[in-house]
Amino acid sequence: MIIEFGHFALILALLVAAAQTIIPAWGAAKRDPRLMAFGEPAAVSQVVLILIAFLALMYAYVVSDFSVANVAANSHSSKPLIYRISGVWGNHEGSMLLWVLILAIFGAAVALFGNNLPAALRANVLSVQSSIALAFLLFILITSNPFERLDPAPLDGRGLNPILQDPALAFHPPFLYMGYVGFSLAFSFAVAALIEGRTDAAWARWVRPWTLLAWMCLTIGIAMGSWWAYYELGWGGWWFWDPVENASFMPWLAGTALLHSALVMEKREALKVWTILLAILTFSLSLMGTFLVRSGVLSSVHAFAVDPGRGVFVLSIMLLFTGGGLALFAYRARDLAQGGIFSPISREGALVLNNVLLTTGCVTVLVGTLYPLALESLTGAKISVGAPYFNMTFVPLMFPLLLAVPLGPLLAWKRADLAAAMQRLIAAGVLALLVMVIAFAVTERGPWLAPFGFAIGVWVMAGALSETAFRIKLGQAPLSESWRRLTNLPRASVGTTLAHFGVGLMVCGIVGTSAYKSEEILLMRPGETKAIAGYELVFRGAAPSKGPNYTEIVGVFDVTRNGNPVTRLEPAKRIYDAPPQPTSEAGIYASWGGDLYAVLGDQQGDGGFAVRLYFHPLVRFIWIGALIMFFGGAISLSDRRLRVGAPQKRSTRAPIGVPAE
Amino acid sequence: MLLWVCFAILTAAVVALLLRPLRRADTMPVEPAAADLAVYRDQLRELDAERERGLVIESELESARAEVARRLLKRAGDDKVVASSRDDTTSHPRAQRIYLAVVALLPVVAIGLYLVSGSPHLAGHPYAERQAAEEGASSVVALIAKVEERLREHPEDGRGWDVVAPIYLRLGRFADAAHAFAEANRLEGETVKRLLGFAEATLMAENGIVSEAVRRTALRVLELEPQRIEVGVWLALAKEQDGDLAAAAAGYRELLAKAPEKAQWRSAVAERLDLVTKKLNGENPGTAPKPAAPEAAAGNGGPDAAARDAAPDVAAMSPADRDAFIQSMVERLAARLKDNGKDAEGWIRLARAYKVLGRDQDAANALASARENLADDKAALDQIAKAEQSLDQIGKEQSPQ
Repeated sequence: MIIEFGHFALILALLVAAAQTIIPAWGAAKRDPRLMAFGEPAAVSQVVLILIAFLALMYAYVVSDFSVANVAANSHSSKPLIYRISGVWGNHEGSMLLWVLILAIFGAAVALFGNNLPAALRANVLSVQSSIALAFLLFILITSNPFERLDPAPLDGRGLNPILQDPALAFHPPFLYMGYVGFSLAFSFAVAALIEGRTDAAWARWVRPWTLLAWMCLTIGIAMGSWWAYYELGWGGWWFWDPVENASFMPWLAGTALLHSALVMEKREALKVWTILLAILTFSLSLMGTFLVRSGVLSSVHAFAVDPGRGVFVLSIMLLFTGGGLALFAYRARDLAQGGIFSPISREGALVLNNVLLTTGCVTVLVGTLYPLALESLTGAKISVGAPYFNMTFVPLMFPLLLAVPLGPLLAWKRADLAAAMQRLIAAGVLALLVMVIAFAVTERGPWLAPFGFAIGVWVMAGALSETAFRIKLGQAPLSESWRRLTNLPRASVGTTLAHFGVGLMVCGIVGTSAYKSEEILLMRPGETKAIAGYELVFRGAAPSKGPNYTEIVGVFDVTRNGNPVTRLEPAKRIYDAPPQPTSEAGIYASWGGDLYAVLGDQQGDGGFAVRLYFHPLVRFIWIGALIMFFGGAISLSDRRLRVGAPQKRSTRAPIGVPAE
Repeated sequence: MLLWVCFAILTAAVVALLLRPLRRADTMPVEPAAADLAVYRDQLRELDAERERGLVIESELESARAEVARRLLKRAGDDKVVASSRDDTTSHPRAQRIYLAVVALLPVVAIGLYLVSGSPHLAGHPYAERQAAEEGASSVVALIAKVEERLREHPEDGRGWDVVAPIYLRLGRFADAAHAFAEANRLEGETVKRLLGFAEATLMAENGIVSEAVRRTALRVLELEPQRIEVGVWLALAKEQDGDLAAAAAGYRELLAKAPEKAQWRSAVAERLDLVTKKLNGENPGTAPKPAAPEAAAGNGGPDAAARDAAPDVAAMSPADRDAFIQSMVERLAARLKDNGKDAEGWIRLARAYKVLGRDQDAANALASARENLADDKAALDQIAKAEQSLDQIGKEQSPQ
């Protein structure tokens, strides 16, 4: 009964979304406050209804109700509870339901916290946001209904793809979706502004925190996916320029650009038109990511259900919103008033450079991702665009960007003194050069560019810290004065420093692991020893073992360094019960210097095992960097100014239910 | 039903929420201009803070201020235009009409869509509940074990027998059920329900043969409740199985005459009558009258067929009564076979009964008579030969005792 209740709630949500798409926008066009006000309760009831549906589906998963086709196809009674819960979004139907749930949450947030938004803007935003929800609810109910029932119910489910039974993967989709879907709000604001033909001053103040939130979630979501691929797939890498990865990376690049251009727009009302275009493009890229991984165009672990009908439907949604958004932009853009004036050397100018480079980088990734697909559909030729292409195109574009990162925050608005800013970065520059020289001296092998890469990473990190040091007058004023200034620093500024520092750390990790990775693939018999990157590994043999829903063969490696025991690695080959599918569990020893990584392969005839051993220097820096970026965003988001969008007004109506001041 | 109530409550809640803006008197929206002015004032304030942190060069401060101030003044001008154009456009009737249309359409369309795509008749099937259902079945077994244990200690507990008897019957443990019904009848007094239960259980235990016990039980039921004519099926069937086809046919006809038009067992009786009539007319619709499988649903128990020996009922009798009963039954069978010797199964049953009673010579005689009577039936002779072998087996098993 709970399942049917969820199904009915989803249908109601569809109808509410349909009404919410039409009525508030109509009200905004007619200037009818009562019609505009419809968006608010509609958005709230939409989120409640979708939440009911989502919880009903989750209930079906938790109690293993195999009369629900979706549960029977994707769950199993022997699965641990956490994977029964994460199994809700570990499949096509459930993940689309999560998609609309997050979409509705963002919509409801505008309805609930947007009291100080101009009514017409809010009404239009809610209508546009709801139109996206309407499209996806239709998609769910028509092509991928998670509440389809089976009668009679099968005795047990078919189980979740075992490689998805992993803690990082349990949280990767929700974060990624919050990122993708979070950009929907920027899109809705952009379209609402175009509908009205003007942007309110509060526009950027509203867009920025939501973009920031989406960007944070996307950052951590991508990092989790990369981390998972690193330790679960057993390929020994952290990023493969796989189209599915690119599908999430492109919105990230565009979103990062949007984040920075929204800053200019908020502070100086400049870059209005560009910011609106970027908001449309960012969400379009999110939709494209959804289309690529959902349609079966790409074969990957994400392509849960290869169904041409669904592909066509998502493609239509993507074309409708991208095409509609861009057409509206083309029609309306010239009506938008231009904002503040600035000289090329200024904070604004630096942010424009950032935008140019990020969007160009995004385009190179787009070409590299779509070109093989287009070529295959046109000529049937299968080509693979891999790391070499991206190393030749994307990476060089990032060099000037990273060089400029420390400069931006040091430049003043409107017109800045570049020489003065450079002067403040002398310490960072010296440190970077020092690191480069040391890197050249210490490493005997690896590409000659790698020390430059380290220098850039250190430059970004040190530059970020220099900026804060300058702001708090570290070394120029007494320590107590510096401390006072540090505590008075706006949180947004602290967030900037942290996020830039995280980027630098990530660059170091990427350079370190790409340039100095050691790799050994060999046959080992019990008792044999292999040395890699200063460690000696003794293979003690492999023995079968049993987990809650799998059986495995666990290999045991004792690791020593210069004769001192370090750790014991236990890589395993698992066979899950349902569905019976092998996975490999890498044995990883993490240290600051890098990760020792062992993968157990197939047993060979003579008792030996195929074994792959890797040493990934500094690889942790990549994910730690992403984590720091995430926290940087969070601190910036906690800035009071951003939380409400616009300052409290005394002259207008207080929010409902809250007594007037 | 509960499901639809829940749907109704949910829909009503959503509708109530959606109607809220209509009831609110003060739908004064935030003026676009007011919101903008607040932002501009804030930007002016921030400029000072930015200068303090060195984010704006002194020389640019004034031009930045001027920019914001220009925007502020321009917006303040817009405000008047917007404010004057607003009043005449807020027409409540239109809003009301639209809201009401939404409220009216929402439940109808939702139910319609749900009926197309939903499965309201399907209950949930949680895995644990299913397992509990399986455990539920085994808990019945546990309950029975408990009752059985108690009955072993207190065999005179009529209520225990009464409780367990229908459960045995449902689980297909017919012999146990018959015994339990017999005990309940004996200890708690006869009721039609218990008698019918006993008759049905015995009949099933005997593979559809109407034993003397069933026949007497049927008569007893008629005594207690004359309107339960359906037990007459058993009486007629007993006659049929005894070979008294004419009497059986008469019994069936009488039943059909008395039976209510809509009684479910009518057609079964009619079929039986048809078969018996054909046999009476010398046709042979099959080999020996295959005992009727449970057919008509009489009362709360099914009706039907004859007896080999009346073990359950007999078990309830005193040893003397029991012997007398068995003797009478054997004699009845022997007399019948003397009249009509063309019944291989009957002869075999008689021989087995003699053997069990220890009258080996009579058993051998019975088989010999059977061979004489059925000399021209090869299949029957084979059957008798087989039976003889198994009877010898019984003899050997019994002799050591």
